[in-house]
Amino acid sequence: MKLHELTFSEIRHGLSTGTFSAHDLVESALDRIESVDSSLNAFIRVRDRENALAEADEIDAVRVRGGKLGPLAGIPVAVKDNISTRGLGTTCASRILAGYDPPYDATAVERLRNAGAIVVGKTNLDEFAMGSSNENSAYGPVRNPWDSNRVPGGSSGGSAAAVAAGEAVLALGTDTGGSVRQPAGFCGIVGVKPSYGRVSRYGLVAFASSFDQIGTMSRDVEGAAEFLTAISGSDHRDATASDVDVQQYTSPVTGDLRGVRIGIPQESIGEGVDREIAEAVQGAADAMRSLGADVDTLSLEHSKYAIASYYLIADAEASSNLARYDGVKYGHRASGVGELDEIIAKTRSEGFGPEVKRRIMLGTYALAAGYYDDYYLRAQRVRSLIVDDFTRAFERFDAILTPTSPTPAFRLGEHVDDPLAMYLSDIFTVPANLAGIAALSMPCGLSGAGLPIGLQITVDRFVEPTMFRIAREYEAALDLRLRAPDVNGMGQCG
Amino acid sequence: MSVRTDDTRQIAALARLSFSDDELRVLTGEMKAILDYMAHLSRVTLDGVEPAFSLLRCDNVFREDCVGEMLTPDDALSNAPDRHGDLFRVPAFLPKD
Amino acid sequence: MRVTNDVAIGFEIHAQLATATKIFCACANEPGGRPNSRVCPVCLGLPGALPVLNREAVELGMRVALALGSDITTRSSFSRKNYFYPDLPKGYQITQHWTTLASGGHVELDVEGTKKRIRIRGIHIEEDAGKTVHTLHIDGVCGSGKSCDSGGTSVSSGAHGSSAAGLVDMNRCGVPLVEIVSDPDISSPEEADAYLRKVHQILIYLGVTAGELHQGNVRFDTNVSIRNAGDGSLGTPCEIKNLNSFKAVGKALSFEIERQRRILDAGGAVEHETLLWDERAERALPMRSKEKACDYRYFPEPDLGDLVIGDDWIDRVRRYMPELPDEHALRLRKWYGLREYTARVLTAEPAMATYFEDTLANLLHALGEVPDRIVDPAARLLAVPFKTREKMSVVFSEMEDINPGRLPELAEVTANWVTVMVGAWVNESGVDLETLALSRLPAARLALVIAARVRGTVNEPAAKRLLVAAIDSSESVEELLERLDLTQVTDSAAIETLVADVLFLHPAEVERLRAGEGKLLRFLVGQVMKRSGGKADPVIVNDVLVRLLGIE
Repeated sequence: MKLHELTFSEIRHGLSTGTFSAHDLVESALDRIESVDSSLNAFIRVRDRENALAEADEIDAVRVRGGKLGPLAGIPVAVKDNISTRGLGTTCASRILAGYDPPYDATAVERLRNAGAIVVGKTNLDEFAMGSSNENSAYGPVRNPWDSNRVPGGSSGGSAAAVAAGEAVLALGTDTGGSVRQPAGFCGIVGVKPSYGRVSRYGLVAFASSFDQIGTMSRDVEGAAEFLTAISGSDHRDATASDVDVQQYTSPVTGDLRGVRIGIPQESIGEGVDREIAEAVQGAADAMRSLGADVDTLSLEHSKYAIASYYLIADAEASSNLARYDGVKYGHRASGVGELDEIIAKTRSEGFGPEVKRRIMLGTYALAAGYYDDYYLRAQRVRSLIVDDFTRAFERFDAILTPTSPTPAFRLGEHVDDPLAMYLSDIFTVPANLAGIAALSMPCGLSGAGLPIGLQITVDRFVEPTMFRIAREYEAALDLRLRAPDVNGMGQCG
Repeated sequence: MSVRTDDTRQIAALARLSFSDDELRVLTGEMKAILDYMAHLSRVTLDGVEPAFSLLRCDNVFREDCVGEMLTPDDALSNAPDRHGDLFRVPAFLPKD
Repeated sequence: MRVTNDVAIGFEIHAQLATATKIFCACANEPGGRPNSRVCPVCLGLPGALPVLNREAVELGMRVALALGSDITTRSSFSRKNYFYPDLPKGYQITQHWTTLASGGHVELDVEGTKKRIRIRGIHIEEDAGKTVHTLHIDGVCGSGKSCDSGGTSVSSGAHGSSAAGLVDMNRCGVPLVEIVSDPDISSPEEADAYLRKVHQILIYLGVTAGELHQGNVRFDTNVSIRNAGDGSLGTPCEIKNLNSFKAVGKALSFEIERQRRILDAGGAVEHETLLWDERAERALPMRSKEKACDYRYFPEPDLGDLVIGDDWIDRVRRYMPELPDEHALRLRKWYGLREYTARVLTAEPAMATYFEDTLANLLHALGEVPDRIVDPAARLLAVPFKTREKMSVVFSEMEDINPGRLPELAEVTANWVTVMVGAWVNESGVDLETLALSRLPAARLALVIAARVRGTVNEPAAKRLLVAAIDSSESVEELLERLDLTQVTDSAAIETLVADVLFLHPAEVERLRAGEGKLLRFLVGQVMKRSGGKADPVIVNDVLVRLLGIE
């Protein structure tokens, strides 16, 4: 088996036994990027090979000496390009941040470096993380490693594709309404959106501050869990980062889910959901039941309002968060002379893509005098009801099982002209963001067309250990090793 | 609630975005469709329901009053599209509105 | 003079809080310095940076609230006020909108003997914006700049051409501000002046702000309306921004009241407008056109949790509240028997009042005629800010039955020295009183100068010379008296000789004085003083002249 096909667990084992070195791993990742990324377009910028290898060599030297190494020592990781990295640039896949190089590292990046991980590059995304297909990128769309005519999902499409195609072992994504989970589902990998406040947002370029969370992506549950352990925890630079204790999210497989109560919302396997997806989720539930879990149905009464509530709040916050891009301090500035107001408007109109502009417009509308009560405030009140639904559900259940998305990866261009249809594809992912709870997407099968199907496991806030436990046991029981078809020849069909 | 092109124009001015008339027309249509969808929130009974503003945020998170690391003027200005010495330079503008 | 009680004026006072760091980041909160040298990702509004609230800024705000008798809100929150401006790096200002730090309270005024109460509507904390300098661009060279703040923007005349540019310094971004909003209870520019000076004095006493108006530490926005003649209801108010001095407020209010009256007198209606005071032109100009009404789109700041302030915290802040000006003035009267006027003059600035108390304590000590408790170090410690109220009340009750003796007189003399003599030197030199008191003229040294005068060792003019010498030289006061030969001549025989000389030299004046031209006595005293080198005791000189001339 080739290095780029190994899972995190296998890699860590291989590193500790000296089967291969950090140098080998980083080299393999960079080679892989070189050979397949022209087809995938998962990366916006790739790390300088010499620098990355020098880091790997240092780690190998420490290992040879028998020195102390971090839990991610020598692991090649990719970082979504809306997370600040000093010296590596951060564009959010937007023209407005072309050439911007932050003078500081995000807390999560600092922590992954402290854990010994080696950044191999910055990944493509929907501009400012606004999108579900990775088609809204100033750097062009990312292609799904499983089928180059299909989207990888979004907004962390680059990170998902990179991990699925073996360009990195682990990746950081960000999840505001499903942006880690949905692409993880579309690309057949594991993606985690932690509880709100679990990972510091310092350095994560804000889209919707109330919902944004940095999440982890891996080809196995273990990698996602170990990565999350490494980057979680309070941060004096983020007032919304929680000081709830971080637990070690990895642990051995026991083959036992006895006493775990799992609920399946009726709405999530009914109308509007592909039949094979509903069946795959049922299959996962059955597997869990056979491990001893109690499975029952439930109803999340207000989830049908989640999309409307979510988009109003997210866009309102975005309209404010994106006001700083005015061409004064950094990024693009329109050329020409004139009154500053006009130059700022020109700068922003040139710098932002159509979806970002649409969201800013909607968000500005939702907050404007005369509309605030009917839109923004109402959305926040409906959100309370959605949260209450979860509070009640978690009195009866430890976890909630749903599909990650109602369909597998769709075709490039399929929803481009219908923003609303695109928004509706987030129906199963946005509720967790509204409630600030944790959720994970993992593969639970393949569709008839051979595309991965994502299963979403949702737990209450800061109950990540239960989420990882269920995922780990299911992963072991399923023994479904999904491997993206070789993408070397993708250029031709793309 | 129906969105008209004039509303869109006004919102665009507020958001400092400029659109051509054609763009505005298309955008107005898209916004109308999306806002019509959002309008189904008005069917929810919300008596006595508080907004979820500070649901997930921790109260009383403070920083102590100690000076920390600052950027040098060169770092601060390193990404500036235009500068004059240690200052950011911008085109002419009117006092705050 | 028009009757002005039909005018309703309210204020928003913004004061920069004297914290060590900014309100949401760890950058130093200091004035001046190299542009853009006190910035970080947070206050520069870099993508991904987040605010974290400075606890000290909250406590200084609480101090203001307690001083003004406001109710501190148990749960307050922060909001974003969205607007575009080059020196507002995030495109929004973090402020408090729906629930503010405190509400209610009042300020007690005394305008020409009339007491008046101005109600406080609310107090909140927020961040300041950066500074923009407008320049005229001539052949690529920056012309003369004019400072302009978005916190209280100034009109930059002639800088709006297409070749003009703005230069932005973000050092001030994120400096903590407390905003004090009053009800429109003020009914004249005079009351407005008294209100602003009173609030300013309180802020200085609280130690919450550097308080320099010309530095922009404290800035004023005002709203003015004229009541309907009929039902007395408030008319449409206009706001005037960018008032950076007490003088500017007075002029702006007079201008605006006059403007509104002219409109109403002509049968027109005042339209709601925001005006900008142009200091140079001495007129208020409309700030924004009406069709471009602003919409700040306030919404709760998602990056910050609520601010929850319980009784424990309030008590802790209250316990360390410094003495307030009114309390201080009252104590000066009670302790030292000062007149009300003197106490008010001294407490205009806490530095002056403290200097006075220190000097007086040293003077009493030097003269050796003190009730021990006054110079008791513990009691003196209480005379500096940051004492507790409990301790003070104990001292008050102990003081009640002390026989003041010469104390009130010495206190007035000391007050006069501090406010007039030292005050004159301070005005002339530009060195501020606190610096002087800490370096060249500590209270103990000033006390020795005053003691020399009180004991009659020197006369008034010599005392003034001694003061200047005490400031300029490092010699002891005793050495100065010796070296400068300032000791007063009180020996009657010596003075008689001098008087005789003068009478001999000015026979004509003596004749006219005897004929009834009384004012010539002062001339003759002056001549004697001159011959004594300024050292003769003028009282004795006067007595001797009267005696020798045999006049009444």
